[in-house]
Order: sequence, then C-alpha cells, then structure tokens
Amino acid sequence: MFATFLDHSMTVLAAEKPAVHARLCVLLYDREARLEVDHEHIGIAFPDGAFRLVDTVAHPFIELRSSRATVLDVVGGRSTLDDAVWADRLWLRGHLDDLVLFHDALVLYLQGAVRCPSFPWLLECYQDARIPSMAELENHLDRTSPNRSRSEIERLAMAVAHKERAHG
Amino acid sequence: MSAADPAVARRDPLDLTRAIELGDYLRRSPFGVGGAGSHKEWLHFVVHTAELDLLVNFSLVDDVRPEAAPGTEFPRIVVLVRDASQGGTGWDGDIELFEPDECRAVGGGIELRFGANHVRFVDGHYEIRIRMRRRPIVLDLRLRPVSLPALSNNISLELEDRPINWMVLPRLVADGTARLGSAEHRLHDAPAYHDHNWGHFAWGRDFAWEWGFSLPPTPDELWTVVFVRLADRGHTRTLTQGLFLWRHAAHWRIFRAHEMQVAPRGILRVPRAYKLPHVMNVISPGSDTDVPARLEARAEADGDWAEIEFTAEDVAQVCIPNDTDDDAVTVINEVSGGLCLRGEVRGERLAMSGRAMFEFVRGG
Repeated sequence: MFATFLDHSMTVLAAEKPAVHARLCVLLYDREARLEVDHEHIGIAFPDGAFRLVDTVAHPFIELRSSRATVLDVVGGRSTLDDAVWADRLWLRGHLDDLVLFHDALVLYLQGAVRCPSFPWLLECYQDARIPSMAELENHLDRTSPNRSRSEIERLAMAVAHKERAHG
Repeated sequence: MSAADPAVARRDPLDLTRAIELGDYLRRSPFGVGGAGSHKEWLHFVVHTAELDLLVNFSLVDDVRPEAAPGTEFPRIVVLVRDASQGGTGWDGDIELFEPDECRAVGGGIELRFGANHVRFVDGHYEIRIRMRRRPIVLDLRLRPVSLPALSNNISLELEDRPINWMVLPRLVADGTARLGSAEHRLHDAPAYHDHNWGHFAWGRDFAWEWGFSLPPTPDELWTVVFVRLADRGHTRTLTQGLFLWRHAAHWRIFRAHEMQVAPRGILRVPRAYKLPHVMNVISPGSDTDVPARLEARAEADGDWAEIEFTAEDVAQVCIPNDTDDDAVTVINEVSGGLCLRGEVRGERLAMSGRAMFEFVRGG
C-alpha cells in the first residue's frame, strides 16, 4: 500500500508542483533507497532525474523501516520525527551525509506536498487505508491541474539534473 | 449589552444589520473573469468563554499555479480550539481544504458553504456550523453583533503594492454549543469577535502584521479594543499602526501612527508549539515563536490617552506556504492571553480587563 501511495504522491507532485518535483529528482539524482513499511518492501530510484519504483536496490544510499501508523502520526503532528526515531518507530541507516540528504529531500517533498491541492485528498485516502486507482487519480488531477504537462515536467527535471551534473 | 445605556437604546438593531450587510459582503476574486490573481479573502471569528478560545476562519484563495485553470480557488477552513481546562497546550484543530464543487460563495452575499460547514449572516445574526472531518470538533454558533463595524479600505501591506481591505466587527455575543470530543460546552452571551479581509497579496512578501483585540467578559461592560500594526518583514519599519476603541456599539476613539508607541517585552516560551497543518511539525519543527511575552502600547493625542498591556499565555501556529518561494512558510502565531486597558477619552476614564487574541505574523 505504501508503495502505491508514494508513487501516487510523486505523480501528484509532478502534476501540481513540477518545480519541486524536479528539484527533488535533482537532489536525489541517480540514488536509490530501500524502504520497508509494515513489512512491505519498496525500492525507489531516481535514474536520469525521474522517480521510479524498482524491484531491486543494489546500492541504497538510505534504508528506512517504519509503519503506516508512524507515518500517519508524524504527518498528523502526533509525533515528531525525532520522537519517532528515538522510539525506534522510524529506523534509518545510512552515512551521516546521506541521512542529512534524506532529511533535506523529505522536507522538500513535504514543502511541495503542502502546496499541492490533491495531497490532503490523497493523505485522507491513505488514512482510510484506501488507495485510489490511477484513473481516479488522473481524474482528480484533471480537476486541480488541467494545464499540467507530464512530458514538460520530465524535460524540466532532466534539464535541471544535467545542468547540476555539469556544474559538479 | 445594557438596555439602560441610552446610546444603545436609541440604536435600532436594524442599523447594525444594514451596516453589516453593506460592509461584510463577499467581494470575490476577479481572477476567473480575467482580473488579477492572488486574491485572498477570509472571514475570521473568535469566541471566548471562561474555558475556551474558539477560532474559525473561512477563506478563499486564488490558485495561481500555472497548472491550474484561472479562477480556481482553494476553499479552506481553519479551526483552532483551546481548552484551558485541559492543561498543557490544550489546543486542537485542523485545516481542511474543499473541492470547488463542495463550495458555495456568492459575491455580494454573506454566506460561505464549504462541505458540511457554513457561515452566513441571516436575520441579523451570524450562523456558524462546523463539522470537522478528521477532528472531533462540532460547532453550532449564533453570533449577535452588538457593535458597529469599521471598514478600512486601501491599506498598503507593502509600499508601492496593491492594498488590502478589512472590515472589523469587534464585538458580538455568541450562543450555541461546542462539542469537543465527548465534552459539550454550552455558550450563552459569550464575547466574540469578527473580521473580514480581502485583497491581492502574496505570502512571503515584505510584510508582517500584529493584530489583536480584547473583549470584556460581560455584555454590560463598555469598552472593546482593537490593535493593529503593519510592518515590513524584518520589523524594522512600521507601515501603519492604530488603536481603535469602541464604547458599547459605537466607535469612540482612534489613535494612529505617531500618536502611538508600541513596546514588545520578552519572548513567549512554550514547551511545544501547536502547529497547523500538522505536517509542519516535520517541515518547521521546534517551539520558537518570536512572539513577545507582553506587548505594551501607549497612545496619546488631544488630551486623550490610552494604554494597553497584552500578556501572552499560549500560542498556536498556522503555517502558510509562501507564494513567493517553495522553501519557506509564513507563520501566523495565534496568541491567546489577557489584556488590560487604561486611559481617559473625552473626560471619561477607561478601564477594562478581558480575554484577548493577538496575531503575530512572522516570516519563515
């Protein structure tokens, strides 16, 4: 369930706040991570400046283990990120620089999320343990962001990524 | 309101109703019909009881993302409840966003319906109905105006930028019920406040405001106070400031600009700042508020003088994503506390102590 929620949320971010989506993809360019939420194993990767769910992760820059309840507690303000880590409800492994990078990426993702009109709806679905279908999601985005352009978003993301790489 | 007061007895209640109908109607954004975007409009209410502070804010904000269709708006409700009897911070609340097809807002009227929630002005009363989707908060309130509104147009938030406008209706009395979790609170003649703001501006620009009011605890007391100060984001330059006094229903005295001196004192410290939306605990953690523990203001002109001392008790933060960038928020600190008023106006002594709610807007 979390994999689909995460994938949908990145689709929402790309459609509703493409600049933030592009910056996030640049920030995590060519990195992959291993997540486990309620024993659901999820691989994510950002090849060529785009977000992908992947089956296998060879070199995760970060590993994360948590639960849906913890995710909802943190997002719902009932627990801080620090409290969740200290209580072992959010387990993270990675080099210090990568942990900092992951935190920066998480904050950027959430800064985008609070600016997207579809996020409250998607989060309510996740709270209700209901993941909307792709058709339902597209229908929602047609209402909130009829002028979106997915191809434009990906071009932008890749352009920014390449520019960043060129500048080291 | 004391019927023995001749000024009140003379005032036909319909005058208040008419004044409100003429001042508090929805202006609505011109964005959908080819006008400028970034219009924001909100109706804001606060009710105090001995135990509770209730804050309800209905807003409509243009969605100016290039991905959105011009004319699309964000209909939102912010509800904050502080139950002092619960100890600790005692805050609860939420921000709810509604689909455009769940929203009804007609320009020229005083009625907003967002989902199962509404505010409307009918038969000389404001009727507020709140049914939060994710928090156990149910409000059914009926607010009776007992003061005249004050309308301020063309207020510059920033130099050389579009002005905003507001209407303040500083004193009402509220009846009804507030169901918070399993507890039901019955309200009878509870002091209440309302304002309405509209205009074009962007969160994150070079402005900040400090805005507050205080209401006397019982309806028969004379004085109501509203304080406002607009400044640049760094609080280095005051754009405008004012202290507004109502005596029962009537505007009684306004002090402005150089007639006033304002002095914040100390810093309000809280163990953990309550934040809305809740996810702001991740984005903007911590309890730094940059809110003064006390705010003192003294105004003096033409032989009249007034002093207020606001003492902050508790704060909840409403964090609003900046329109100007994707990395920062503007924080509206909703600060509950008490206020003492002293002074002398037209030879009459001023004295009042009451509940107060101040907003301190801070850049993130």
